[in-house]
Amino acid sequence: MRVVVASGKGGVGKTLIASSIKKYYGVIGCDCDVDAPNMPIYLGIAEGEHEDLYLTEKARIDNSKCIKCGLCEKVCKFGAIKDFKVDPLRCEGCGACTLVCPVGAISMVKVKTGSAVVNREEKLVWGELEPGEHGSGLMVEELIRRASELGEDMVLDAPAGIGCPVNASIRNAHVVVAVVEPTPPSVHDFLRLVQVIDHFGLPWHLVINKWDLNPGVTEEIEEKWGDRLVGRVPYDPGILEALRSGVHPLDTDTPAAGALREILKELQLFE
Amino acid sequence: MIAVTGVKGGVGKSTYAVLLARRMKGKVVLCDCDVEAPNLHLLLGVSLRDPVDHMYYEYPEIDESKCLRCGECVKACRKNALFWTPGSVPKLFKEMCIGCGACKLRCPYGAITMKKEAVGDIFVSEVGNITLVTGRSDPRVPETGEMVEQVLEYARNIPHDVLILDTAAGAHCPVVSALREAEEVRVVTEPTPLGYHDLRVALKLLSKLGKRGKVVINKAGIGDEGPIYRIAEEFGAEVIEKVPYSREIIRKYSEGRL
Repeated sequence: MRVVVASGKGGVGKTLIASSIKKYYGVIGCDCDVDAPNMPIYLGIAEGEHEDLYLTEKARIDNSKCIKCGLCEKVCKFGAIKDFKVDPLRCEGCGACTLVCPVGAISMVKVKTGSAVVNREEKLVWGELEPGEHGSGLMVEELIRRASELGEDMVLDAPAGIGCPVNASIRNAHVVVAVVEPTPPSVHDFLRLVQVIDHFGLPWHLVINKWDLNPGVTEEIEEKWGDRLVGRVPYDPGILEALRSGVHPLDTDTPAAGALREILKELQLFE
Repeated sequence: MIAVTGVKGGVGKSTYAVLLARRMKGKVVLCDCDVEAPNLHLLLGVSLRDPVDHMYYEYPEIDESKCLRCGECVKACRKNALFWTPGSVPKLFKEMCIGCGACKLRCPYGAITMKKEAVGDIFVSEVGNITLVTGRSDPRVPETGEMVEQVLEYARNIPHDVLILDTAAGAHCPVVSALREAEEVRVVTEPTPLGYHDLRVALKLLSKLGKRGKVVINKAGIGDEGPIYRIAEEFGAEVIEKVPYSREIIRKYSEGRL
């Protein structure tokens, strides 16, 4: 079974919850935030086998064949070709330019999308996207494939937002743990996340993090989504303190750790 | 044009963008480029009603009467957005389609046309001397990079003295779209191990775009700022500002009245 932790808004506590699930249940962890993989930091794991991933393509113009007709520039919907040169950060790899080039001067070449990192002993998989590269969704699919080679039960840590890589994370999971904090931005983005979860028709649970930031809003969330709620975690500077000293928050006796343990028991995942 | 970015979510990008906009003089246009999770309106206390415009994508439409079911369009599509069994009219999977038009270019029978479709809304709100432009994607459309370009284009066309962009979390397409044109980029970070890690990613992305960021330390006082200065120096970036950690800001934020 695969559980995905998501929130819409960033910084509300996805990785805290996801890494806690991994530790408590002893399952595989797969960090699907390929821009900013923070699960290894939470778990104090820095090493793994690196492998470069070539999942995306870009157009390349052969100058010796190019007759400078400009057809490719005209047909590119992404403005990636200017003065008979390809801007690699704009190129989406669609190949439309290759279809119109009258002299076959354009070819598609595989490029490095990023790298996958696997730590078999610790059962942790993460990825590092080349900054600014396209294909974050493809990277996520590839990471989940690698994590699946280590076993069946895993927790996926989704990135912020509700775009491609989040879609890829949710699409490949069986159940969602949504994390929300009682602030207007977090609630707003959580409601948008629910639309995505419903689109894929997945069951989901709700955790309220930093619930005491605004008890009034917490109450409103609980009233509306009470049947989904598995628990709430207080705002606790001890989490940061633990992180700084390289200890997982779950291994401390802070108030947040106690609340987390209750939630993990309540979730009854992987049964 | 000043962009506010930071890779890590929850680091204070939106809060800083609002604080920055408030202290600017003249006509300020503030553009919320986080189309997947737009929040600036909530910090400014306005609601998004009545979109002034939409964001559009183009999708291919196959005219069944002209389609001879040859499958050429399917071969041309590198995103696997067209599905076809011999003898049938190809079927489009919109969530895979990037609207590149390769299928249309390849079709020998002119059976494919590209049709515009609204994939999100653009809102404009006036708050004091700030004009807020917000793009909000349709949650069913995952590819958002092009949407950011459209909302940004809308914001640029509003007369202004200063244009401030607030980007999404992360370092892929939608963030790149927002950063590309910015004259100045401010990278918001926090003094935590997560902040250090993500600051490095942000500065790496900026150097790839040929830009040098200016670093803003948010939540100053909660941890060691040494690593931030070291990482900034490594990339030739300057730390220009610190916003102290404040329960007051957090409380106001949580009440939606920053």
